Amino acid sequence: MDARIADMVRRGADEALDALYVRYADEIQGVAFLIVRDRFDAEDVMADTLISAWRGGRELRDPAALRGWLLRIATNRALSIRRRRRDVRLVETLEVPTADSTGPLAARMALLAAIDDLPLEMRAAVVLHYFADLTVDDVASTLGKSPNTIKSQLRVALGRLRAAHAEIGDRRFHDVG
Amino acid sequence: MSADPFETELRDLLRTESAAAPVQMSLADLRARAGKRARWAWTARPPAMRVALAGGAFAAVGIALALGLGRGQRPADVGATPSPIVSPDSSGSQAVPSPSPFVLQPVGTVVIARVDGTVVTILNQGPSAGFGGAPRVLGTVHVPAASPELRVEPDGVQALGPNGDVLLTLSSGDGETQVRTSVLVKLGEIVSLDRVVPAGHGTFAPNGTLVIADASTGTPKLWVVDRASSAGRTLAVPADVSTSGRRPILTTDGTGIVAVRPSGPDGTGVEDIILGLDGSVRPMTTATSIDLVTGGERRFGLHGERLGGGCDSGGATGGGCVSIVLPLGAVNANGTNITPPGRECCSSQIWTPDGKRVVMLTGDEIWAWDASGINKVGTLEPDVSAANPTIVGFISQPLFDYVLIDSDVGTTAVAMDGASMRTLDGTLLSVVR
Repeated sequence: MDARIADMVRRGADEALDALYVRYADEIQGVAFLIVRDRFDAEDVMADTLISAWRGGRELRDPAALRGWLLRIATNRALSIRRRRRDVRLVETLEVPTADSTGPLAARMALLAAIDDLPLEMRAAVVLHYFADLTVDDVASTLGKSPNTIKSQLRVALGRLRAAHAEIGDRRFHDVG
Repeated sequence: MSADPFETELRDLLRTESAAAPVQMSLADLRARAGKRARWAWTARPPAMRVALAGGAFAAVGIALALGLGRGQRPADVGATPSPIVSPDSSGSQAVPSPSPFVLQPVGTVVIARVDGTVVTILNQGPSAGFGGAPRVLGTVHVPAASPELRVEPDGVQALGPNGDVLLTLSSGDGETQVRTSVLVKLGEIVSLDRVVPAGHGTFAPNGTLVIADASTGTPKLWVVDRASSAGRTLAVPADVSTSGRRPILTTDGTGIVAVRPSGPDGTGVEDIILGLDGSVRPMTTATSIDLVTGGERRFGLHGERLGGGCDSGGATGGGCVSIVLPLGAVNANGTNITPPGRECCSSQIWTPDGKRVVMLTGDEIWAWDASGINKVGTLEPDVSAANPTIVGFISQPLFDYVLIDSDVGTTAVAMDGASMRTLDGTLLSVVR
C-alpha cells in the first residue's frame, strides 16, 4: 500500500493527497501533538506536512522512504513551531485526582509531565522511537543526528523518565531492568 | 522492540496521550487548505520573499534571545503541570475580583497609552479644557535597554487590565521581516518573557481574565489566559465564525465574545453571535449585554435597530452608498436612510452607548443621527482626516458629549458641539464607566 501511495506522490497525482491523509494523518498528527503539545498546532503540522509532501513528491527518490520522509517533515515543522512558541503555556493535560495522587494514574501523569520537561530534541527522539517505533538509525536520520547521539539522548531521557515515574511512589517499573 | 515493562508503559502512555488530539480536520478541509495555498505557499513564493520570511523567523528567535530566553532555556512553567484555569464562568474567579493597583479618575475620563520607543506610559485624562488638561500618570512599562532591537509601535499597547496588567505587542525587524510578540507586563515593571501570550487582538474581562482572538493562523483560535499565572487554554473557532476585529467585545457577564457568521439563505448576510468561552455559539439578541470599553462596541440600537448599508454601482445617477437603520426584524428595503445629505458613504459609524444615536464619519465630517434627524457635529482637522480616522468610542458628559476617533496620529476627542477637537497624546485604551 505504501509503495502505491509513494508512486502517486512521486507522480504528483491529485488523489495522492487523499491517500496520504487516509494512511498517515493520524500518525503524523500524533507525533506532532506529542512534540508541540497543542492540538491545533498539531493539526496544522499534519495538514502542512501532507500538503508539502503532495506538492513536493518529486523529491521523494526512494518509495520505501515515504513514511520516514513524512515523519521528518512533520518533526521538523513541529520542532520549529515549538521553538517559536516556547512561550505558550500548555494546559491540555488531564487533571490528576487527588485521591489517586500516589497511584498508577498519578505515575502516568508524572511521566507525561516529565516527557514534556525533556529538552525539545530529546523529546522528539523519544516520540519517534517509542511512539512512531522508528529505529535508532531512523530517528537519527529524521533528526539529522548521529545514531550515537540519539542513543545517548534516549538513554538520558529514559533515566529522567524513570526517576520522575518513581518519585510518585509507584516503583513497579523502577525496580525492573 | 524492548520488553522492558517501563518502556512498554511509555509506549502505551504516548499512544493514549496522542489519542487526546484526534484528527478532526476532514479530507474536504484538507483539500480546501491545499487549494487555497495560503499558509503552505512557502515554496511557491519568490526567493526574495522566502529569504525575508526566514529573516522574520530569525527575528522571532531574536526577540526571545534579546529578552534573556536562551536557546536552551524555557520559561519555568512551560510544559509544567498547569494551574487551574480561571475563566469567567468559574465561580471562584467571579467571587475574588482582582484588586486594582491604581485609582482612575471619574466616569467619563479616558485611559490612554503613550509610546516613546521603549517606554510606555499609561495615562488617565479627564475632559477638563476639552481634554487639554494635564493627564495623570498611572504607570510606565519599560522594554529592557539591553534589547535595542525591540520596540513598541504606537498601536502596540492593546489593553490595560484591572489588576495592572498591560497587554503589549513588541516588534522587531521591519517590513516583511517584522515579528510581533505579545506579552503581559505589570505597570511599573520591565518587560520579560515570563508572561508571553499568544499574538492577536486581546481584551481583559472585568475579573482580569485575558481573552485573545487569534485569526492570523490557519486555524482561528480563542485564547483564554488566566489572570494570575498566564496559563491559558485554547478554543477552536468554528469554521464559519469570524472573530476578526480590532479588539474582542466581551459580554458583560464575561462568558463570551461578539463574533459574526454568515446568515441568510445564500449565506451572503452576516449575523452577530456570541462565541462562548466554553466553545458554545449562541445568538446575540437585544437582551445580550456587552462590556463597553471605549463606548463604540454597541451592536444594536435601543430598540433593537441594526445598522446596515450598501452601495450600488452606478446607472444614470452614478451610483452611491447609503447607511441605513433597520428596525428590529426589518430587511434592507424597510430601513431608514441616514446617510448625511449630499455626502459620500460613511467610512465609520457606531451606536452611542445609550443606543439612541448613530455617529458617522464621512470624509472629514462627523454627523449624528437620532430619531429627530441628522446633524453635522464636527469637522476633523486635515492632519487627522488624512490619517485613516475611525470612530472607536464615545463619552457622555454633562456639558458635551465627545466622539473618540483613532487615526495614525493617535486618538482625537471631538466635542459634539462642533466647537472643539483635541488630539490626545496617546492611543485610547478605555473610557472609565
